[in-house]
Amino acid sequence: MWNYFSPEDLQWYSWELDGARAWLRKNGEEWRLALEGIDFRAIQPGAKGPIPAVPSLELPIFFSVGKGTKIALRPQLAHRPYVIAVRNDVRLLPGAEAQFDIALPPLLRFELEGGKVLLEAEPFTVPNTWFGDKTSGNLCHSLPMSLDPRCAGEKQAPADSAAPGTHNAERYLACRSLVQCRLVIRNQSKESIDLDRLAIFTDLINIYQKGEFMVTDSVVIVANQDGELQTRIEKEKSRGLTVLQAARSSGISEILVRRGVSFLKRIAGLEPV
Amino acid sequence: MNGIQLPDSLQTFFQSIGTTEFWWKAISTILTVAVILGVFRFLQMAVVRTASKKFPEAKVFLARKIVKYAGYSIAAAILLKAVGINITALLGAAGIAGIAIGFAAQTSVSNLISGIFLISEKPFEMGDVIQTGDITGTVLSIDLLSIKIQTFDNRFVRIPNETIIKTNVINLTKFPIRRMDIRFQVSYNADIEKVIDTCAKIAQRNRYALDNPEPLILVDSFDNSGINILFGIWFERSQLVSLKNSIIIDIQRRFAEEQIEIPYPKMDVYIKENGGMENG
Repeated sequence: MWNYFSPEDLQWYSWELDGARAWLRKNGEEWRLALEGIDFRAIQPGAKGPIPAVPSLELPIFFSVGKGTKIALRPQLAHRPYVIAVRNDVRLLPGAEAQFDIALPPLLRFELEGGKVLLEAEPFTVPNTWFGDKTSGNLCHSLPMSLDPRCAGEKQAPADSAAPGTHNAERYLACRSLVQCRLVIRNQSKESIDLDRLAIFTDLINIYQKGEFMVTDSVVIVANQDGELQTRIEKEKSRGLTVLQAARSSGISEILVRRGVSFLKRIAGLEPV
Repeated sequence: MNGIQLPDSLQTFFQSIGTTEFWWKAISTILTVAVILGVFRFLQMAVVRTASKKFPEAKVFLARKIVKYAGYSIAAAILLKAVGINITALLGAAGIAGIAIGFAAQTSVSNLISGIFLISEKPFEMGDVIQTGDITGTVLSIDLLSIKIQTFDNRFVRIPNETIIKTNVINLTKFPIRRMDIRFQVSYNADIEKVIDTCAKIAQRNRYALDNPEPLILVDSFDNSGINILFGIWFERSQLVSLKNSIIIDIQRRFAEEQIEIPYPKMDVYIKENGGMENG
């Protein structure tokens, strides 16, 4: 679905993206592009493409002009951080570790071979949220899902009924046009910590193709014995996978205090008890 | 008949024109003044380059002006001394003239001092959107005597610094997020809990509304025509217009779908006819 292909002139191609859709047509150096986005909450698993299909006449068509024979629809993580709420507060005791599997809505780019971008668009609309206080902080994408932690020693239980009104993350994890990300929180400090909201910065994260799905590097947040937070990107499990999109920033894989420890505590929603 | 008597220093000066010594002195004075102006020009550039990394533009502008005028003053003093004019006497006379000018220039001096306070106190910076009185606009510059504002309908407004110091100034863009308060009424027959729930869903669905901080939905008071509701929605400051337009439309549409009435103001009118009969 994300590989480069050579479209025939004057033929419309379409991608079905779990409820959203994208179209493209080539005619010489003219490229016609269209995207029909949906609300993230309305997403339904079901993705395929490119297949021959013509878009609705009501959709706005974008034009790009450029030389190229091969083109692909490529994912790109949003420029803003993603924030996800944890369903009910989760308390991590000293020495405990919790994992969260999250599906992130990417931006999509029509990209020519060679990296030239014809169009970048947002197929899934998500609300915004503010991470910080009223005087400073970051504008983030708010993912309308509530997470349950995966912990060591868990046995497989029958499908638990989610609390009414919450969005079960499993539905999103089944969508092939979303990017799966594993977030690991380790409490190596001497005090318990309460998890409320989790934030993921995407600067140093790659997107890989794993079978039919997209995955990223794991994000590990460690509360260490000094009471500080370290955020690390783990790339070991991604070795050997095809890179669909490289991280925007390169450098050391360990993000130390980029903006101050207090900010990292805020972005992770972690506060010592 | 006597001619005009020049001061001794100037007489000596004019008498020495044409001598070799005069021309050497003139050339060395000009070179000295040029070097001083050059040094202070270089100092200005150095001040701008180093200060602009740490300080806001208004402070850098002030510092640059101080260095510039200091250079001019020193160059002028050297020039006057070379000509033979006694600077001490001149400064003495300037002190007396200064008092006279001070009385005449009270407003300008007040604006100047107010400008220094504005630059040091920093209630707003260039690029901020401020509201003072009935003027709202973007701050283009904070100068020594006044600030310049570009209003949203593209008018240029100059406000003296003294006026700014004396009045309330609202900085609309100091903080990154703001709350938009929408007040409306619902009918006395409305289900208030349903109204609150509908408002919460409207905020949740609007892409410009932030879900954190949470929207404020307040049942405010009882009024003549209905119950007053305060609906406060947080937004990122650059999305004011987008939010305002979309949220009003959303409220109207959703309330119509949920059959929640926003009442018109009502008044009962009694017409009294002659003969004492009343018609309501």
